[in-house]
Amino acid sequence: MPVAEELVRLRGVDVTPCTECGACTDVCPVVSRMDVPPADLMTQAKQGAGEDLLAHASPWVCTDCRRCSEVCPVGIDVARAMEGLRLLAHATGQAPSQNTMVRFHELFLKEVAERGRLHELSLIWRLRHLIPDWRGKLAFVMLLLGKRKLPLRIGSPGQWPGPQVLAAEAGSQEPAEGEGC
Amino acid sequence: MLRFSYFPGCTLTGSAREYDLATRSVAGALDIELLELADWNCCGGVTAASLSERALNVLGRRNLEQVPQEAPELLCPCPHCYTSFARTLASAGQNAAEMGVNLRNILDVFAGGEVLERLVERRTEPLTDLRLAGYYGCKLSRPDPEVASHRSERGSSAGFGESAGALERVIEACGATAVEWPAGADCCGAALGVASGDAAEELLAAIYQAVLGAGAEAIVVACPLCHLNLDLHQYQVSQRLGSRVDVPVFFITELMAVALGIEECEDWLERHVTSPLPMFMRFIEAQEEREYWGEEGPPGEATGEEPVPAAAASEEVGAGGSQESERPGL
Repeated sequence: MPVAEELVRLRGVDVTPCTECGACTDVCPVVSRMDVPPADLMTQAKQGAGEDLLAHASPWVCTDCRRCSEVCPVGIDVARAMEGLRLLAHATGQAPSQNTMVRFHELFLKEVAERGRLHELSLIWRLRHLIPDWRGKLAFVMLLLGKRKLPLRIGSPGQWPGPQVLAAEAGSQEPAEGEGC
Repeated sequence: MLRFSYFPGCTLTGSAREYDLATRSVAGALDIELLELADWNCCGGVTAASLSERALNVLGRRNLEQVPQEAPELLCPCPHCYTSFARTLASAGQNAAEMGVNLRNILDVFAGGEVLERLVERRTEPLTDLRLAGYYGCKLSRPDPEVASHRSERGSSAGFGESAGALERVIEACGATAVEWPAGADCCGAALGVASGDAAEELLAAIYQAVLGAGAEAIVVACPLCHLNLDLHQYQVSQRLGSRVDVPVFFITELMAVALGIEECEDWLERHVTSPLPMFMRFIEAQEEREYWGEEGPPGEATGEEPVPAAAASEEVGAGGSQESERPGL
């Protein structure tokens, strides 16, 4: 399965015009945290890379700031391509499962499926084992609790149908949600 | 009377509760009616679009279907919700037209000409001489393609956010001065602030360096995630930069509430991690000095070291949380 074709199908992004100029890498604010720079991902996708492209952490580090899409001289929506890589990696089970951002997204969706709304405190609590220096970060949580920014309980939609509403349809590629912490 | 359906979104009930309170309150003061969606759910945030197209559409549609026909304009204070809904509408195609929803972000409504005229008319506490930096972040300066096409279809101005100088217009309408600075559209780190503080702090340090370089006394934002990151990490950023960063961050409607003299704002501003109180104290001191000496300043050298009248601490002018004087420590 060439990733480039999947990106067209899932996100309507065609990476074949990529000139390998590296402009997207130059403007990326988080490139120093990536294992592979965005320009390399685009280049490899263009050259016909398959599923092995999906195990990288880079798409999960991406903050979707869209600087890259703005500067691309041939108009490739690089940020959307990164999103497509996230979708594909998740759907095929290739996403680096110990990456904090991967778990962040998985647990976020799980939270929302259960309650219909995001309970921030609950999400942070579920993520705690994956946050580097969690004990140090606990100070932030305490601070936000003291500032009444992390309510212990949140309202939820009265008619929320329950987690099954977001569950993958039969025959879809999406795997069932993770088992949580 | 302007009337909008209102989608607060998850963060506005939690970490950005003050944004919700300020928005409702300012809307009331400026004759804008907000009808909260009866049974709203999460928009899916950045996550749904990254993990499951289906989730994005299910979550979005459930909200959009609740928009009542008598108020088809849906105000989303959070730029992420705004973007999610634009994407849901784009993928709904024909059904979207049936829903007839017109998405409006916070700047469309609160930086609109008519609303700003009312603000100037009704403000009781003009923030004269405060130097403020408008921070747009990513979603309001580089909109997703679906946002751009939704706007052009509905005849809204295609340019909004940074390109239209919307925050600057609000800042000036509050009586303050908008500074020019280079980092207003930079990335705050978004969810990395939660998952990898170190990466976010690096980005925030650059933003704060620009803020200090421009001589701004506070930052004005329109996104809950930007606010959380900018407000929460100043202690760590100070250590990284080796100089103290103590710059309060306001939501756009909070700033309007202060200028309108809405009393409840003391309660919201107390929720900020970086207390705005020192800034307001300096502001009040400067104001009283000006009242006392007139525009020319004190006779002789204007050093700013003159003794300040005791009334400087009077409550009526104070807008910050008055009980809270020290910076919260970590």
